[in-house]
Amino acid sequence: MLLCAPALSAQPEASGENWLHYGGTEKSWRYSSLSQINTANVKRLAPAWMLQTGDPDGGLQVTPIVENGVMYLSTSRNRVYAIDAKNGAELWQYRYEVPKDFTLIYGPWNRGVAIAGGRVFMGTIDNHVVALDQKTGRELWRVQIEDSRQCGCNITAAPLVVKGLVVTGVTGGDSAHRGYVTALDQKTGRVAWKFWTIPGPGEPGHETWAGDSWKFGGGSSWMTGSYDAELGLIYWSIGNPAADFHGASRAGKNLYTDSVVALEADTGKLRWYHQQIPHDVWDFDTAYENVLLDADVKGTRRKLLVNVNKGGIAFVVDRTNGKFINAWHVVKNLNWVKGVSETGELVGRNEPEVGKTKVLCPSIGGGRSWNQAAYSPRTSLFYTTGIEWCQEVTAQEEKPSEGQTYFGGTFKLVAPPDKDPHGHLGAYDPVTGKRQWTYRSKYPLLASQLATAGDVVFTGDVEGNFFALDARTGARLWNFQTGSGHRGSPIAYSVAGRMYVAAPTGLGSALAGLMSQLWPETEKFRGGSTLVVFALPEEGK
Amino acid sequence: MRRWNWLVAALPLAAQTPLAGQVAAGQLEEGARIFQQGCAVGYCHGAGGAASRGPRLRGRTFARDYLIRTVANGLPGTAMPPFKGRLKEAEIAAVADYVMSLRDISESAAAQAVVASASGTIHTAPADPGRELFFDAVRGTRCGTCHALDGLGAAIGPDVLKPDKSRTPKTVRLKTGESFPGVVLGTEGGSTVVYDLTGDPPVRRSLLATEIAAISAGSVWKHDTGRGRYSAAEMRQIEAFLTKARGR
Repeated sequence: MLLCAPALSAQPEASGENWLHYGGTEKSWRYSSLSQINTANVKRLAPAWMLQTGDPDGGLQVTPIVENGVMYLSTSRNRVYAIDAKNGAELWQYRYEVPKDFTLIYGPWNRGVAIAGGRVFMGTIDNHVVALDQKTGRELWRVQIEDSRQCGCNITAAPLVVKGLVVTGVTGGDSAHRGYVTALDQKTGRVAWKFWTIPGPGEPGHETWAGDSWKFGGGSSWMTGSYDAELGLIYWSIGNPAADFHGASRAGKNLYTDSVVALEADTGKLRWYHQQIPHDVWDFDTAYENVLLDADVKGTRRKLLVNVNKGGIAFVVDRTNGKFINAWHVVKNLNWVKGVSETGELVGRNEPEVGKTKVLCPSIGGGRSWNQAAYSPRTSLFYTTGIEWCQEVTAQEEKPSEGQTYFGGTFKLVAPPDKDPHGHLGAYDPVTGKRQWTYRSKYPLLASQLATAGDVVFTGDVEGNFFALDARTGARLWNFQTGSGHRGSPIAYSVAGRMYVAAPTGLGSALAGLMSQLWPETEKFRGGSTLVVFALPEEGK
Repeated sequence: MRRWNWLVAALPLAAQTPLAGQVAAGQLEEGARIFQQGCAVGYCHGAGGAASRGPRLRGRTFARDYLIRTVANGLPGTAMPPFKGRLKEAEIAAVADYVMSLRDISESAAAQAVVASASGTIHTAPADPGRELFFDAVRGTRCGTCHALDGLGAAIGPDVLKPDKSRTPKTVRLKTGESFPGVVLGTEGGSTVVYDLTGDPPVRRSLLATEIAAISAGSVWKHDTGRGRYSAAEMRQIEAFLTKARGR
């Protein structure tokens, strides 16, 4: 249940005093209705407090959660801190026992906790879900979803809390593994339902996998879903099929990989799906956030879902039935497909080949990474990043071995044909994709966006700058060097009438390492794990 | 078995390094092939050791012993997995030699080396069908959900190789009136830790003394016979595997 602050009741899609969900609210707008900090005064923003987590490996990739003046923050190795959100004082901490004899390619990062019913929930580095007492941090229950030593999978995303359930995805999409979404009872930890992302024998969609390929076909669910309470539907994005670059052994559409699935919250039953990339051979997951917004389409108000995939294409569908509305792209350098037809089909596929090296754009790192977009109802603009980079990719046949990597190829980053690799943040019409403005960055932008009612968009770059842009023009209004790059998700909240903006800092992750292939100097960029919280200076102090 | 197109580009490259005199040409080819299949892939070390999620290996100097040890044992606490068991000793040495040969490699040469390498598979041990069923992931809940064996699975129920009574379920009654069959693990940080067997998979719960009404011997819980999860023939295969494992 949402504990509604007064500011929330007017607009359930916006965060107010509290930041209760990973995406701000269940609709994943990453938009705050707070306006104390605005375009006129943002240049006076100054640090209010900081928290050094002491756990820098993998950087700080979290979205903090705030409720009634208390912040809940998880770090790479599943430490959880409860902090007084006005001054940074620690209220309690919890340290998950990470197995010592343990290696895994997905991690060690963690992207956040969820709170509901007096409990704090977190997925773990070794594929457990834990529930903590929200007041004390005491562990209440813990469930192993699947043995990570066997599946080669784990949980790095924040859970979604919905109707007495805690819903979690799983990594493992680049390994020989069959993915799922799991819902547990918040009170007891008992599994309420499980949705297999690859249908088993006898289930519809099973025929889209040749032979035994369904057993090892990936289909991870590695980010956090969204929820429409009115429709009772959970929207989860399903990642790429495995082997990533080599599809010969998995002939067929490979449902429900590279799809958005709409699941009935009570049962986990599939209501509809929309597959963006049938038979993906590029590792272009439909893995990222589902932004639920309403907008006019040809003069009619529609309930929409916007999802930008790793291939750099934004798909807009009707969230009541999954019907395709439009597709638009967030990068200039995109040659894996010629385009998307008016009915949503990919046209002109350009696939990797065995034993032959091809230049494909964008790179496996994505036309955009998982760091999330924001949507402002004030500007009706959708703020998302894009990365201009390409790769030389060579497919190869690999034999699946359960829980082991299963990529089906190798790649090497290269500059795009115009020799201008870079990152950018754009403001788009969420339906048509018409771009209003672009903010250019030397390197990929790997932090989420935060939009506010003060018409400011906040984000950070990998060089350590945390900055504010004018939501209407893209002009940079303010900048603060935080000392390490940004790979997490900033949030806004307020305590006792004072608005704060919290920025997780500390570079890490797969992409932070990958970047060095194209920008060798980034190998020496400093890591870290510090939350920096900003506010306007108080009068008379 | 497919016939490899051997890594022709690696030969002149290897000749540029001081190692060339010490390492047989076939060793580098073998190392390059294994590297391409198991180390260069996806987000790991990148083609030619160019760096990705894993650190750059190209243009760096490592001790051979260190490389062999790391490939064999992995680096616990990181993303680097152990390859012991998946690769033979000689194959691990070949990978180490290949990585050492990347020390003086230029970027273009490394990329070329990867292009020239052929498809293949890394060695995996043949599995016992009973063992596969014991851990069969596509069933969701399987034997390994509650029984640990060979470092896999959860140690909730008894050790299947040396069963004893310490993991016999008891009845846990809470002051809220809730009652469930549970395996009691002991106390930890002031809490009693219990596996609640009504969950599938079982839920590890930490209960304060003030929450517990009573824990008593005996419970309504019965071991799953495997019906619905495994066929009779599959159960026989699992039993045969366990009999063999107990005799080890």
